Amino acid sequence: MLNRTTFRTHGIRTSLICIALAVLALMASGCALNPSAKDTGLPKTVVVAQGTDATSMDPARRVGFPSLNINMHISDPLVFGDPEKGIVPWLAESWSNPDDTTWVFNLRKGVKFHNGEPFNAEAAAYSLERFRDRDIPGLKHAYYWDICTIVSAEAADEYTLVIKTEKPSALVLPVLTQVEMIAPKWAQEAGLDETNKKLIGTGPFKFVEWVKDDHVTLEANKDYWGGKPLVDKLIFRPIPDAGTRIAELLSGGVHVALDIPLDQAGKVETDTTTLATTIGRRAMYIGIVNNKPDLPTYDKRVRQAMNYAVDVDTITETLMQGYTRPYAGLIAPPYNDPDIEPYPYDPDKARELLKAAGYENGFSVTIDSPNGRYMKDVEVAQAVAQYLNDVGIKATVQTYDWGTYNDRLQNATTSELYLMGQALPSPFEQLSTLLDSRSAGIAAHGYANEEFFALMDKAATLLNEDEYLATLYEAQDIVWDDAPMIFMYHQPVAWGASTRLEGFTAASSDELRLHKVLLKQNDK
Amino acid sequence: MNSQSTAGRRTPATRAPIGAIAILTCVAAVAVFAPWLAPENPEKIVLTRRLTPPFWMEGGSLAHPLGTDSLGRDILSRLIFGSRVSLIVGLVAVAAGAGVGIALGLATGYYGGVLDNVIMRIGDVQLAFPFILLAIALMAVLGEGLGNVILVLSIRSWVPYARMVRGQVLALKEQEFVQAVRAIGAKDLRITVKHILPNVAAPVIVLASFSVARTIIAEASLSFLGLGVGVSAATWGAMISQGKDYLTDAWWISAFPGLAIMITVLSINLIGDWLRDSLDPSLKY
Amino acid sequence: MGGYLARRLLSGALAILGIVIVVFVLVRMLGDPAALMMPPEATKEEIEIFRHAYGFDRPIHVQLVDFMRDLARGDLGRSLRHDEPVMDMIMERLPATLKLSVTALVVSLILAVPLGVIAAIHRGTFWDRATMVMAMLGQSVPDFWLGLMLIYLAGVRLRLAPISGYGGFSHLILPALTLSAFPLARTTRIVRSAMLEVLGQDYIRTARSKGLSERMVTYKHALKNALIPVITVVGLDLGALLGGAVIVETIFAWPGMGRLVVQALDNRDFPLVQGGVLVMAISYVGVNILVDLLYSIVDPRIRCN
Repeated sequence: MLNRTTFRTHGIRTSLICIALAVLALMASGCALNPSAKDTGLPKTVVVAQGTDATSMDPARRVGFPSLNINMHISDPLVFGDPEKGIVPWLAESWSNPDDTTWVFNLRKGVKFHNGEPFNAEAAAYSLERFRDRDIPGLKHAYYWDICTIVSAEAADEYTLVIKTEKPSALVLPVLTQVEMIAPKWAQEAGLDETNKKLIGTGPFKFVEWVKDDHVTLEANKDYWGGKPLVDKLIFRPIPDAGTRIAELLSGGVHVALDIPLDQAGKVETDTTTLATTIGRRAMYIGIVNNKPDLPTYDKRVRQAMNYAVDVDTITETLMQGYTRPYAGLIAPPYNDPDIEPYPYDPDKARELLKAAGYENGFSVTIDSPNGRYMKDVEVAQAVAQYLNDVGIKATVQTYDWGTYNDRLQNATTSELYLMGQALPSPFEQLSTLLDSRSAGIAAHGYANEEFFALMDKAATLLNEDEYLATLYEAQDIVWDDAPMIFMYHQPVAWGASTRLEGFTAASSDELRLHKVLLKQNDK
Repeated sequence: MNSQSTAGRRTPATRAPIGAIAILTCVAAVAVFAPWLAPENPEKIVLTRRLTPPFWMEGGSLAHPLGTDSLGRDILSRLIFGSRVSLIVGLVAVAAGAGVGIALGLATGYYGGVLDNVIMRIGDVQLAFPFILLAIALMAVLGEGLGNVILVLSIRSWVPYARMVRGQVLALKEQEFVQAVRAIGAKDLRITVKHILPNVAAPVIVLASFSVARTIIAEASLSFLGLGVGVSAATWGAMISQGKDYLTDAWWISAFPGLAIMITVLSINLIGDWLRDSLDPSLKY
Repeated sequence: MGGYLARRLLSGALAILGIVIVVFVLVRMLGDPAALMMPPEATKEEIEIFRHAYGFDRPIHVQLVDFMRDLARGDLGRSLRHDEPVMDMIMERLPATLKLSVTALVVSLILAVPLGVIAAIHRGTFWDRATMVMAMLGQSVPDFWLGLMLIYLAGVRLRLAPISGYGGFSHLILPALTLSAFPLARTTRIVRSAMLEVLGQDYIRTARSKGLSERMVTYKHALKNALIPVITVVGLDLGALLGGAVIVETIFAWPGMGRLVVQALDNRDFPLVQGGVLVMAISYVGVNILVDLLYSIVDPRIRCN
């Protein structure tokens, strides 16, 4: 018995020591890594956390903002889409139109690619041609079809690029904001597998390495034409969970965290971190299938009633935390029609309109929603359903993963209502992609108004900015009255950043450009 | 077999877990009487009262004793109705999985041959298929909904029952009492149902009790991945995952359903332990 | 022994073949990758051109035969979304998955064996009850909950460990702890009950009566035998973990197999899903065969069956 007792204490002790050692060993290595909260000034290495990894380093093959954001720091486009100023000169210093279908760009001189190749009109033409090359496999860039309106891009001399289009096109400049330069000699020698994995451009940072699903490391390009980087390294990390991104930001593991859920915005406002928000240009809406006469929604009054029934103001104040407002027109400022007013929240008027249309007792609809694709998408859909129920339309919400959802959109098999958000780079594309049901895609099963179509056809060929916008205003007025969708709000952009990054702002385009924060600005 | 050691093991453990049984009975009662117990419709959205804290905190009120969620829905009502989904999913998915598993186990064990081979190979495929991926793919094909969640979760669970029952049947088949009833001309179905089934009941019940607990957690995990019963439906799993963005500011959204899952699962596990010790001491887990 | 191994390998190969076919058909029921691969303004004709270029417009059995032929040559195809060989992509993620799952299992074993032994030796005492309650809780907590809590407590508040990412050993701490909770709890319970059973066996009492010290009896004789059932369960866990821990990988931004294949599934990247699931299935079946072999070495009685 005595023997047994000794053993017990002994046994417990040894086992406890074992456990303690295991825990200590695990914890010990972590302790050294504590970031110091007192650091000020730009860190030597800046880390950016995005929701997903890049799809490719090849500008012509990448898809989505995470890839774009990385590419834009490695290379430059010819013209730059500035959120406030519109399209501004970048690698092209100026441009002109000798005729409706010709564009002449005068390029910046003395710019070099990271490997020493010179940037010139040949390189620009090559980079642009790669975007149109049907033989490059894989995904097609979001603007691929628009780029195909360009029929040729040629070097007239060392620094003059001439672009020809099939017919007059208002899309040339918007498209070029998304076409980054690639070192031509390297790209041809390296081949497609290599250009998929790395990029040699003209940008402020050079590509170093890409560990898939973990990080992309860039290092400073001391010879950047647009100013010298103030940091040594720029690292992009994909962190899918928003909570984890915030946790990393708060603990100093990353310096920029994109896509902060608005409910947690307050958490990001601390001594060492700050929240940058802006109203984005992604127009959120509930599409209304309205192309069959037997649908209640075929009646314009029913669609208008839905717009009166939903209190978008309360939705933006609560679910969007007041970071955005109901929009007036699908196009984001500065291209929006100033005369349009949002539909007011007026449930009585909604009931009246329903009654006039013969749906006094309501009807049933389903709202399809993706799950997690847009900010609070499912919650917004549920709130809309509740508002519709309040005026007698029995609405239920059905969610799908994005793949299935997108498939249903493309094949026009969605329910009567569906939640969507679109942000296309030009006002014309925004309207045509959402509403022009003559081309397929997501507008295929919806709206058809000949007057609207005629205005769109006209706008597509107008090179004069004022005429072009005036025509689009007219088109928008028609859409606003026809109400082929429940108009909602532009999705806010909310990014968190360390206070060490002075001057950090959010971009309405959702595109992250750290040039102003990380580069020594030239005195101009 | 050493009777002394078995008896020695059994005595302390076979005491019925009164607390666990009481808790589980309560949960079941809440589920049955949910419409009468819940203060309001669990799906009712009122944006203007969103994120109300529980009554004892500043800003809380007794109108919503456990607070409201991000859409202003009443947490207590959702918790009460959520017990239905969790229990239904847990019980039906396990019953379906066990039912199919037992039937296949009996059939393969009793008849053997090609049938046995084919079904056991299908079982291998099933087990080697990463479950979460299967669930994601199936839910994407089938769409959300209670029935589909149950289907996906029961697909996962039939194999262990089939294997266990098959093993038991193979052993029992050769025993004297089965040989005897067969000799007097009893039909196959009668032999399996009347004589073999009761003998495999104990391990099956034990296994099932643990699966109910795991299935309730699995439902929560599916909800976390956005593959749940449906967005408006109140389920404990969905509540936790909806609250995960609010863990530090509005902890009540996910804390209460989290607690509910833990207590329920703990009770079921305790009861499972007790069943194992009293029904079949030779089982290890 | 050789015949047994051959049979196991054959049935394992059959299972893998079955999985390959199921995955192949299942992903094609999910809808068309073309819709996701094309920009939103793509027209029907453009989508058709895409479908034709990748052969998705052919009958499914023709596609399957093609896939099998490539597979026989060891070619898993190229990812649609990333335009990279599937094999390369998997080989990039496999080390991360191995590192995480093996660490989680080792942690769970290091803790579970002593805890289970203590609980068994001190059956009915406070130690036993405390251990069992902890084990029960460990089995009752969803892993995403535990992961989120660890991030906030250990990562943000206490700053004990890096929160996310893949780097040095320290990055393993939080995800490995989260992932080890369930196997830890279950293995503790198994070790306890196996120890209890073994301690009651005749040969242990023989050993005791021979005058061997209690420690000797416990560790040399009892524990060795009690660990036999642990092997099976650990093997099953390892097999399952090699399939990637989707939730833990997502929360901790761990670049493993689970995340890769789930993203591929979301993107309808058929070749990548097929390749990923194939590799997971091979790991699972392989580990199980290994466990069975190990089992028959540790416990010679099995071989006779």
